[in-house]
Amino acid sequence: MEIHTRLAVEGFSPSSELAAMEVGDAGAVASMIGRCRDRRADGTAVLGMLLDHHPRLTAQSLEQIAGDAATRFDLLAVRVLHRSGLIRPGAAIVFAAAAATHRRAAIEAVDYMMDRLKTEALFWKREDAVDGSRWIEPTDADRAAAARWSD
Amino acid sequence: MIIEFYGSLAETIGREIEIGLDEGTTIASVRRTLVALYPAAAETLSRPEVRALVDDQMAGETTVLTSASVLAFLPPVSGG
Repeated sequence: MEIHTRLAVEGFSPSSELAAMEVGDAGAVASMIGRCRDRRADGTAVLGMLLDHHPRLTAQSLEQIAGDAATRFDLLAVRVLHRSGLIRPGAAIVFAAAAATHRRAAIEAVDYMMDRLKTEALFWKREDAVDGSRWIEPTDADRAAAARWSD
Repeated sequence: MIIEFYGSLAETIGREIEIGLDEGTTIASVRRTLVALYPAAAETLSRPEVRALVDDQMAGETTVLTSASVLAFLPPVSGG
């Protein structure tokens, strides 16, 4: 089982990270790339985002989430990268991937990790738009999605 | 005692401040003091969703602090 997590203070290449998921026995590799939008749902132009993190606990939260996915699902490899700092529209914020013998485990593991990253990973996200900046919090939909995985 | 802030609180107050501490001060007491010192952050600091850490561990409002403690206030997180 390969578990790789990284707090990326500089940009990363999602295609390179996906290429790193080549695992011999994996019949399936599932991945999710979250990017900084250039517009809000109402059409307001977004100039970028700022992600704040905790110097010690944020990386631990990524390891915890990836490790829990590896425990919960029958996987061969897990990979999670998450940016911090200033992020321009279009840039990747998060990469989550899982490799497994069968597709169901890989797909569900990525879904699980994204729901937990949205609600538990220790980041604070500020969206900077043409009409000002706002700090973003998980929505009710985010919390409901994460709650699906509660035992 | 050092107090760290993250997210919107860091933007309003700064990443870190240092304050003097009376014997037996609790997290709740520090929170009230900060609300008075930083009116622009008062609404956020008063939210129950804003968690406190002491030396990187979650801590309740009745936790008694020492001058060597590192206290942190964390607004609701949002990753992904």
